Amino acid sequence: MIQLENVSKYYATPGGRHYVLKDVSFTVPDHAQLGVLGPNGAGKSTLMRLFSGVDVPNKGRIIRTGSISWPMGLASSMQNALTGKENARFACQIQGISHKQVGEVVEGIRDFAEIGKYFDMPVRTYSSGMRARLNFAIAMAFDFNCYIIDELTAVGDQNFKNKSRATFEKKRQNASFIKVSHSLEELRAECNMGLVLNKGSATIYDSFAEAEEVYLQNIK
Amino acid sequence: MLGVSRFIKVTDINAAQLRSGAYRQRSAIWALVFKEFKIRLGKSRIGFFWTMVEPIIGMIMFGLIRLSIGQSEVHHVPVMLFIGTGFIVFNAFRSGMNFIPNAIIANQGLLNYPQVKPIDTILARFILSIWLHLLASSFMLLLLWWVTGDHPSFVDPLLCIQTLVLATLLGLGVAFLIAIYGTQHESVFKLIGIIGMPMMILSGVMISMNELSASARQYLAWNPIIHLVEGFRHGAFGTRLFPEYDLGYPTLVTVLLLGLGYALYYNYRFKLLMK
Repeated sequence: MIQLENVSKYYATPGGRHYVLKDVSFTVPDHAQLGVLGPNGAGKSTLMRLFSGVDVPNKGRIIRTGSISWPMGLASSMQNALTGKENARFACQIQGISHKQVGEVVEGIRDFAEIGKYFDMPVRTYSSGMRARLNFAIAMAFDFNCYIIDELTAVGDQNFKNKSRATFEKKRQNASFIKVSHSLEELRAECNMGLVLNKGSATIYDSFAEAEEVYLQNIK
Repeated sequence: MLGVSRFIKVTDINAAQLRSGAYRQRSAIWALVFKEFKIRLGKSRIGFFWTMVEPIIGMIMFGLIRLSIGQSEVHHVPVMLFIGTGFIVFNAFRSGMNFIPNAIIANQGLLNYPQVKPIDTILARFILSIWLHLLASSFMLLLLWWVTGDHPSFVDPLLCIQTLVLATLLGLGVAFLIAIYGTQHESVFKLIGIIGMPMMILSGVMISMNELSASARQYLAWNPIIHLVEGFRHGAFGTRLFPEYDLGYPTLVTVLLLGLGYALYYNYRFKLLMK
């Protein structure tokens, strides 16, 4: 469960404060499969960072129960100077995987990513496809109660895409997720709730279809 | 009744959060330390080699200057050893200065993990630079011992430890401030290279305060590092301290700098996270 209490988040700009969220309160329940909707620049990514605890609100507080992932997606959690393996190992250490299990999890990531010998080379030498594969493989290596997904889409060839989808399907049977995606179709298929961001306000809806309707009205 | 039970519950939660918070930070910092170590070793063996050899080259260069004008001892301390110990204390202050301030920028990608906070990246680099410095210093002393047979007698080992710890913390205080400003204005980093050399000369690495006139001493005594360098030598060889010596002064400066650094970190914490 993630509960926001009177949360405000703003960025200082030369023209004054730009509010992403202004005095927002709502609760994301335990079994939510929540799709987040909002126009570009509405603060979807910032909200995802707040949910996961990477960023902190300027005012108000966020209460979290259960384990929550980092914001998985385009903003990759990787260091270019490290090899794929070292990045995977770092992710394990950060998630508190015990010493004995780290090797096993890292090998699992190697198998899943299917990037061959590049796994032992610095990430800076990767193509964007390889980077995305590694990103996805690391993201799927851990079990969370709630996944925060910011444009993490299945990439690569058909085979890898199918495998990615199947893995995520399995994860979402026992876990909730909060998802941002440019594809409305994808959200429609996966989400049972919707959250609409609009000019500093955030409203949660118990059905995704309802949220979608409001969102489409907003951007007209 | 309700108020009391609620109060207990809240403090319980806080204690648990505090414990898990400390645990989180510790494991994040260690993961970062190992990662930095790997990058430092993997990227350039030469970089590691240079860290070990640089103070020795400095010691030999300045030592030769003093030897060439016929001074083989400073206050009965062999000149190489005298300058070498100067470098040990000065580098405790200085060794992290090129490395710690870039910590936040260099780890930008990893800040995407909620477990990694900007301050952790600074502390990780601080820990690594202490390790490397201790290694380089021990190497230097052992090499001197082996080549010349001279070694410090450490008449007051506690004072030596105290001055070294203060020098590293003073260095952290300065590096912390540069990190916070430099992350927002990168040109600040350029200052480090410019100030390094004069700072070394003004910190008594190759001269002793007692060799100088009272008026020169009065100005140099404003530099907190010189108190630490001379304090260390007093502890290592029993050399006489200069009249203006006061360990309280560098202690005060260190505490103030670290306090200011943390206050600024807290103030800019939102900006430091922004990409």
